[in-house]
Amino acid sequence: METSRVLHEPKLETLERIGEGAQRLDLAGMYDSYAAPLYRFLVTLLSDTADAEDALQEVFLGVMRRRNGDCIRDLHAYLFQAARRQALQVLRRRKKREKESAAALSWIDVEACREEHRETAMDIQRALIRLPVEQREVVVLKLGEDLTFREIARLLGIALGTAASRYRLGVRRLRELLQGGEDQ
Amino acid sequence: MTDYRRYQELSDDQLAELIRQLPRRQPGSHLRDRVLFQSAAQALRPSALLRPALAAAAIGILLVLDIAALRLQDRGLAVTGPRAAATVAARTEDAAADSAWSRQMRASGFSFTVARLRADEPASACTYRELLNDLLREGQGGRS
Repeated sequence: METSRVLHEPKLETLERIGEGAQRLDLAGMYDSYAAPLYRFLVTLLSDTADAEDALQEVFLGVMRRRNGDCIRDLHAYLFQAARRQALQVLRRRKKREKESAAALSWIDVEACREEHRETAMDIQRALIRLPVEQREVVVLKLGEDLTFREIARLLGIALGTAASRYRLGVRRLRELLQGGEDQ
Repeated sequence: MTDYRRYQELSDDQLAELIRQLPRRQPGSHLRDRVLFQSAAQALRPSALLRPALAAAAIGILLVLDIAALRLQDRGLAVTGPRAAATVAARTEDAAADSAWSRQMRASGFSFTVARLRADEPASACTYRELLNDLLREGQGGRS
């Protein structure tokens, strides 16, 4: 099973003066370290790969737009919080247009699942999309990225206890949905 | 349709473990190219208003030159080198229509556009990745 933990400590040498000049920022290195978990996070929140790609691009462009002296102390947290803001913007726009994503997508790669697990993966994705965003984002970071509650709290800028309780509520709700306990 | 029976005996922890074992989605390599290209294009111009125009200009000129090269190939003419290719491209109707892009690129100090076509390389080989590499190279050279 592939695990995809990213670097949890920011690369200080790239962060010292992040806005000083785009050429000094190791954008490719930053992308390679953080894009995959950010992408999975965004797909899970948005349930749409095209929207997730657009949002991911905006996150990285946002870093590049920062100016001199505008330091980022924790790049990992900065990127996830920026991704979260992007995702919420997209969701707000969708709500205005009363357009919901028809697909149920998440960080899980259903195509890559073994045949006997594919149905389970699809069931889980359908249930995931019905979780509130606050629970979904904690669940993806815990189960999709294997992060600790402390790391999740740091990345999302929430209290440790909040991260833990949102996760427990999210998993319980998932189980209830999968067991048919709640149809709506 | 969910078969609820298969999940009846699961505890929260077992469900979590089951989910954790499922394979994880990866972003496509095209997304990396796209993000790096857009970031490079953004970094090359100081004015935020001109950034999207720069990216569009880079892609537009590439297309113009590609079209010109394809026309040459259609007519059985050989492209003898980048300067010749650029000259011919500039004389085509398409290039004339898009000359504002060319001027904008020249004003930005870019020269890579004329080097896009080589005699030994088909126009279709001008890929997004190559364009990105050119942009990055030009950007680093221009800023250092």
